[in-house]
Amino acid sequence: MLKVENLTIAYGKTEVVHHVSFDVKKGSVVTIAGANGAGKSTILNTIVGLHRSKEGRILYKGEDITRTAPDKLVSKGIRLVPEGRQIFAEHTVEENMLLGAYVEKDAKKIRDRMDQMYDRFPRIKERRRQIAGTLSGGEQQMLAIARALMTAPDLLILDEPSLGLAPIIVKDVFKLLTEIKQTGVTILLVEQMVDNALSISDYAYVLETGKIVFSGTRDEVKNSDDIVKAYLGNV
Amino acid sequence: MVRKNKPITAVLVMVLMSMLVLGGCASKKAGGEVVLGYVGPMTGPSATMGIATKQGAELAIEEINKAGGIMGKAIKFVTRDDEADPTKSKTAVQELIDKEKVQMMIGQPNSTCVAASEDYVNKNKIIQILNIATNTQLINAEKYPYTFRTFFPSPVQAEALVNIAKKAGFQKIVLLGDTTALGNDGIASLQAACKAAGITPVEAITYKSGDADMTPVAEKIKQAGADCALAWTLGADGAKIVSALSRIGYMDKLIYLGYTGLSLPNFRELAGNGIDRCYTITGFWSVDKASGATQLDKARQELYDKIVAKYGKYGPGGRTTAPQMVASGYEAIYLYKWAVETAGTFDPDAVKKVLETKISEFPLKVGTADTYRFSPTNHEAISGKDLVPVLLDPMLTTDKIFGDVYIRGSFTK
Amino acid sequence: MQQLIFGLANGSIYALMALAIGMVSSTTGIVNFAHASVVMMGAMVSWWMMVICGLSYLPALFVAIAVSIVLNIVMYETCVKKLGDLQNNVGWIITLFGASIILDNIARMMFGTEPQAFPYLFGGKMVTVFGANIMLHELMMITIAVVIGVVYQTIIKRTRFGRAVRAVAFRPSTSELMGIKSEKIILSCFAMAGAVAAVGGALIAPITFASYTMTYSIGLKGFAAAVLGGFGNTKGAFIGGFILGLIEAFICIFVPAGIKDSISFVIMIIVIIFLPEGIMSAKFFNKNLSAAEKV
Ligand SMILES: Nc1ncnc2c1ncn2[C@@H]1O[C@H](COP(=O)(O)OP(=O)(O)O)[C@@H](O)[C@H]1O
Ligand SMILES: [Mg+2]
Repeated sequence: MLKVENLTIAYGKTEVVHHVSFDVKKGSVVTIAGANGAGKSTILNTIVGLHRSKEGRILYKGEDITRTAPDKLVSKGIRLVPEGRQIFAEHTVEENMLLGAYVEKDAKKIRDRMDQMYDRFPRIKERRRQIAGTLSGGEQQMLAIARALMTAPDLLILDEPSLGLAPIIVKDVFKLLTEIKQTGVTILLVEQMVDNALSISDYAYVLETGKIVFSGTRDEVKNSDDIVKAYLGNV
Repeated sequence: MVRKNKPITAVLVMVLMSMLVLGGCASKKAGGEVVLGYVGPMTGPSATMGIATKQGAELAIEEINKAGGIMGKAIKFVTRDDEADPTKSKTAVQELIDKEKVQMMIGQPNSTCVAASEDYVNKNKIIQILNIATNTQLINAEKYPYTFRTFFPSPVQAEALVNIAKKAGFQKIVLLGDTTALGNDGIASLQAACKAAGITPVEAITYKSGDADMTPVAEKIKQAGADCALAWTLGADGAKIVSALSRIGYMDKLIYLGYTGLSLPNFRELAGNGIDRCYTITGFWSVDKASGATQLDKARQELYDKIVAKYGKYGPGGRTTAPQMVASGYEAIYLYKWAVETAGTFDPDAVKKVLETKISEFPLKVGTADTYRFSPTNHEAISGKDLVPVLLDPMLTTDKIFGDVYIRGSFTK
Repeated sequence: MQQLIFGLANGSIYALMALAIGMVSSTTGIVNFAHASVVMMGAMVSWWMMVICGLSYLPALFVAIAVSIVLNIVMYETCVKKLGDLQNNVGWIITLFGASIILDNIARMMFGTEPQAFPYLFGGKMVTVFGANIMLHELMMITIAVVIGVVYQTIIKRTRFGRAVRAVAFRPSTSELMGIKSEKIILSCFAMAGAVAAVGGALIAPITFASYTMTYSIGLKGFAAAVLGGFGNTKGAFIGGFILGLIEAFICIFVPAGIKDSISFVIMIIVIIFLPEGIMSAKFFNKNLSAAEKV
């Protein structure tokens, strides 16, 4: 589904991601673990076209998307749920959903999709007329995910979806991700602490200061003492 | 400190050196040339005044050079555009004096520009003739011994305006002026003239020059119940006030009598319908139609024809300058020529003395009045008695035969 | 009544200027210092089209609108876009001030220095209502401004484009993630601001006369109104414009016209000290709003 080859990314003259390669198979969930500042968000933002790479290629369904604009990628089925949720706090909840479907011009399709989302997220439906900034953190995360699902993406990318949420809410979020996975959506997610992520992942990479230092299946990760110490809190 | 001073010293040295070099050049050339200068606005809202003076001066210089110059020396005329900006004006004047070595200058039309550079002009003993600027302070035979005025300054205009209004029998006179030095000076002069004439104006109304909307000013005039506005307003501001007065339906209840700032052509173009109740004042550049005249007097009519021949008829696409202003530039050059030749020397002190003592012998009668009143203690040529009220409107619209020359007006309450 | 009309008429121009300034600053966070010059250009171009090219009022206005839109787009491409990140680069202060000076000079060279008479709508016809003389032109100024203001708010509140404008205003990078081309939205805002500028220019020109200096005094008021309303808050800016017009109209009954500006700026400074986010942040405005939206 997604193949990243030899990706090098810099801000100005400072390189922060060095020759990173990884692979996300269709229908799988892949986690990238890494400490704060490792370069996780930088990689994700580059994949969705917000930032330009210095070197390397990004392939999506076999097609080179390295320099494709964000709106094209949305149309192609790649959606990012950004770090910190970034809902439009001054829009209403429903407007957030509509913005999520911005590239879709067909009003009926938007309506249908919104109804589906409202069925899956009853809390959001209840609050659809409310200003989004007044939602709780967990609700905002749900909204951010629902918003991304408005275009029925094939590849859903999430940047630290558990950031700043209470453990009980985090559980809900990952339950939701499992459901989404079951609908056939491929998921790439990054986290600092991967306890929860690993439980739903098929494969994982570990990123340290812009380099992939480890890769393996869920079980391989769990068998590596170093990784467990560094990125798993309480297994 | 030391570091800061270095470049300044360097610049000073360079300026001194270039002055020496240029000075050398000038004195070498002096056999055949006398340099006269003019700084004034050639662009910006008061450009018509600057251009008028330049046109007049150039017309005179062309004639004089053809006829052999001043005492055998050809005139070189150097001009600069100051955009009516005092700072730019001062720099330009200094440049003309230091680099171009001018011997005489026609003063800037804008009083603030003259004020900025007058000290420097007099320190260098340059004969300066103010043909348009009106501020009172600019003329002072002791402080500025080399500066003379051939136009009517604020008090003279104020005296004339108040006397005309008094004679016409107006009871409720308001004074109008903007908040700049020009307006303050104007209002002060009007108030002084009112006092001298024993009149109490109902109100003095001020406004900000260039303000977008003058309706509040018009409202104040209406509230005061004025039957006559003595207006110290510039062209565009005055026009805005007149059109605002028409707008609130008060223009037909009042005579708008303004100082010479109203003679700027844009006033006539912008004021709208109210123009037929607007007057300004002027001197001998007006036709006394009421007593049967159809033309200016001979000397002025001749000059007028020359101006039309050289610069075209007044109007869109043609000349934008008022002939009286062109004439004043023309006259200034001839005045200097006459004074130099009468003195027999270019020495500024001798030229000054001729202007102060022999002015009644000056033969050219194309200025504001036929005889000027210069003396060793008075460098003002004109008095309030030399001025009459003139119509602003028929000049352009109904009375084509007079071109752009004023027709004397008369009105009573 | 008379004062009310004068206040509203002048206020409508301040409101249009503040609205256009707000359109641009809401999406970019920058203050278009060249806006007053574009207003002037709009007026000068319509004057030129009418007097020199002999077009009638509306076609002349359309040409002026087109020219102002192009001017604003060019300004965005040259003075704003090239600077990149506007939050961390205040170069726009210089480039836009520069643009305004350049526009003024171009106007001076193209159209001359003399103020020119500009026609009123309906030939300056007047009607008398409740003892006040009202020019139809003034009624049109107010009406057109209100219509533009209401239409703009409706677009912003109700349409897909409006949602996108607010999204970009809130955070451009997140908007990109939705598939919104932030740059296109910003460009549209500049273009709309240009169109509004031309309309405002043609409406005010009969009163100020058309000249390259015609917006020198009202330009500042437009910014003041925008600040009064809260920068980037187009609704507040619009209302701020009308309030400023009314303040001026009523205080000039009590003070000499010469110091009118100082007084209105003193009032504004006071407002800004107490309501730094602009008048729309006052409790009075938000009480009903938040109650309604929390349902
Ligand atoms: N906009 C930016 N400009 C410059 N440096 C940045 C920028 N964003 C992130 N960085 C730097 O790049 C590195 C990686 O950041 P990031 O990708 O946000 O890390 P992570 O998401 O893994 O916490 C960090 O050293 C960070 O300081
Ligand atoms: Mg991150």
